[in-house]
Amino acid sequence: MNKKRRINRRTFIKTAAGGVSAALAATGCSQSESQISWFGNPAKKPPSDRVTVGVIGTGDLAKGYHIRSNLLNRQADRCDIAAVCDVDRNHRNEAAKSIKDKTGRKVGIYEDFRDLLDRKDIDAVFIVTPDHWHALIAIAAMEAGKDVYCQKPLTLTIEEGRAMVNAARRYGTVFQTGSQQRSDDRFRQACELVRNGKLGKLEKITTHIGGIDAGSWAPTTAPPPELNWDFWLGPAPWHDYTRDRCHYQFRWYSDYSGGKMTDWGAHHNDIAQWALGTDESGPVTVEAKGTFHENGPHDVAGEFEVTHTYANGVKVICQSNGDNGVNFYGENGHIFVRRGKITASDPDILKTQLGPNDTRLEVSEDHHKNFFDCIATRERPICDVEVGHRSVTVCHLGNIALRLGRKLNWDPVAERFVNDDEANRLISKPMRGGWHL
Amino acid sequence: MPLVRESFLAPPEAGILSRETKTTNDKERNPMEPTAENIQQLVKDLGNEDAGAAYKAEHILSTMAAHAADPDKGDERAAVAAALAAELIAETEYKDRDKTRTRPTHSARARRHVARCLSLVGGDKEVDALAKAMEDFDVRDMARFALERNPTAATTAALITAVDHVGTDFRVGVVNALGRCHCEASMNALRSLTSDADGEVRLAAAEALAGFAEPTHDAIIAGAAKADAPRAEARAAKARIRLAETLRNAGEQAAATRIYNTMKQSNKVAPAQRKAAELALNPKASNTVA
Repeated sequence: MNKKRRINRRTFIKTAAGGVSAALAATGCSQSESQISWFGNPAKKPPSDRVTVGVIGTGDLAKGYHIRSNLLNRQADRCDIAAVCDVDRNHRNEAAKSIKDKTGRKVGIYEDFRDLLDRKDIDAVFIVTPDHWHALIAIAAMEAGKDVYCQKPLTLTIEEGRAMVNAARRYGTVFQTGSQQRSDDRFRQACELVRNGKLGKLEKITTHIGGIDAGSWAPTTAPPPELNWDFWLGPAPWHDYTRDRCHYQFRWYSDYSGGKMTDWGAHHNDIAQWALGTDESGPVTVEAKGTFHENGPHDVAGEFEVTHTYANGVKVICQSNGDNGVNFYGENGHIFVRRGKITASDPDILKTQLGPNDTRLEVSEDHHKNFFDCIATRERPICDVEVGHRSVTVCHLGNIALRLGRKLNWDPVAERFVNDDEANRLISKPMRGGWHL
Repeated sequence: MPLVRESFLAPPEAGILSRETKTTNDKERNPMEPTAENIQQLVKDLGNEDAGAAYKAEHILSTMAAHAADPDKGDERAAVAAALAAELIAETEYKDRDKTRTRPTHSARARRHVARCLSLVGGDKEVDALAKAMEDFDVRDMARFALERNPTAATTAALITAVDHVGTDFRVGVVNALGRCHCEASMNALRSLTSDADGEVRLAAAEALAGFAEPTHDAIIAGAAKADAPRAEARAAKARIRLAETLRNAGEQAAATRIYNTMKQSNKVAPAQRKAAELALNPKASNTVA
């Protein structure tokens, strides 16, 4: 990997250079020393190295995992939150309050992500909205010159993913997909062992991601006053408001997400892709069997088993049953890995030391840290947009096969189904209200 | 938890669903069979006031359409599509004082779902029905969705007619759909629309032209920056960058380079677009290395 280090911190250096140099000259302190002890505080990074971020989508996941645990805590010395945005007034106000309570700083509060993106001071955005908004906001952010951290599953459709990759390359964006298992030692260890043949010839991978129940019918009502329902729907087809269609529950409606297949599949199928070394490719056939809830309201697959076959003959079988996690089956052994646990058919497998000629996978200690590190160095992060796109494509293929009820042949280079115009219609989804990729 | 209910593995004609959707007439008829009669009944059931019952009909219709959307089932697909199209525009007469009028037989919600199913199985024969549905305010978005998924010459003609309907959002949606048709007729229509009275439509048409590898579109898109629409200048600049990429990918390197150079040198262009132009002109300077 090319380790060019090119620091490119926005306007601060340009506009502050004269003032900083003069101040430093007066103290006899060098520029590099100043960066170690900015204003006499060795722990605090100088403003030029701090990333100004906006958070778009400030529901529970953003407030807890991103803002509280990471941006205001573990990565507090790497960034400043300048703005929050959500179409639910309560969500955005609560997020702004939590930031003010912790930092004493008031942040900009927005309903429309485009207003947040207009801000020239914002360097990067965290996108924590429902899936059907990811592509539109991410592309707009990249076109506004921002770096992007986008929650998984990256997309609602395969076409969206390719559009996001194209935009990232066009604008030189540092783009991290929120598949944080790639920054977990256990998953990396499992993938390295597989990649280096420590299980012998790999036969199959099974991923177990859970199913979903039918949900319950709630009456349609007027949306609550704090929620801009039309904007929440955005590009998705119009539907009268019910409380159980949004704010976490959106995952179980195909207009907004892909059910468990993308919710957890984006994690575990991503690990399968990592182990296979197919981060710029994918399977060549997909077959599925499963059930949908005939009485609704959840219209995503309830239970399923999807078999993806790769060009090298390895099958990745994604199932709704079984212990949440990933199994790797080789001719000489088996590994099971999930968050917080890794086991093998023979414990000695896990003690295997990699040799000098073995493939080493990129090490990331922390997914948010990796993002901020890459903003500084302009390297691609561990879960670059192409990786996220390819992994969620595996999930989308599964959902399409479940919907159509037949075996499908996929060309991962052209990213089209082979001789199947009908299936190719499902690679994209038309958008409502004038939105477009 | 059982892995799979066998019912789903069986084709619709023999499935467990038939037990749950028996109608009161003719117990010999299999309601899951994709016949015009069954489709008519299911579409009627979509209007059920009980949300669960309506959803059941939705689910069966969706499954029927999905299973018919198969390259090896041309006849079944044609039959399902024709039956759906008939229900989409079915009308019922009613008396209005001394006049006889007509109104749609099925509710707007039902017709939207029918249009959604047609997005999977609809072909050129269903374009007329979908075009008619685009005249209905309550159904037109989903009808446009269905056409957008089947970009043919017939679709393009229907969309060109529909772009004159009222409502900026809808018209912009039609413009975007025309952008996906990628044919001469749609391109000519989009060029005309860059002179539309509605600023949003003008801008959307200009943005859509960025997908066609025509060097002359650069001036058209640049002109759209003056449109009376929010962020018009920024949107036009982004579209010019996309056009340059379209040209480059089509082998029109010189035309692409001209656009990139113009963008790079203009201080009226936002930094992000100037940077994109620089990256395109000098890929080795890319600041996201692999």
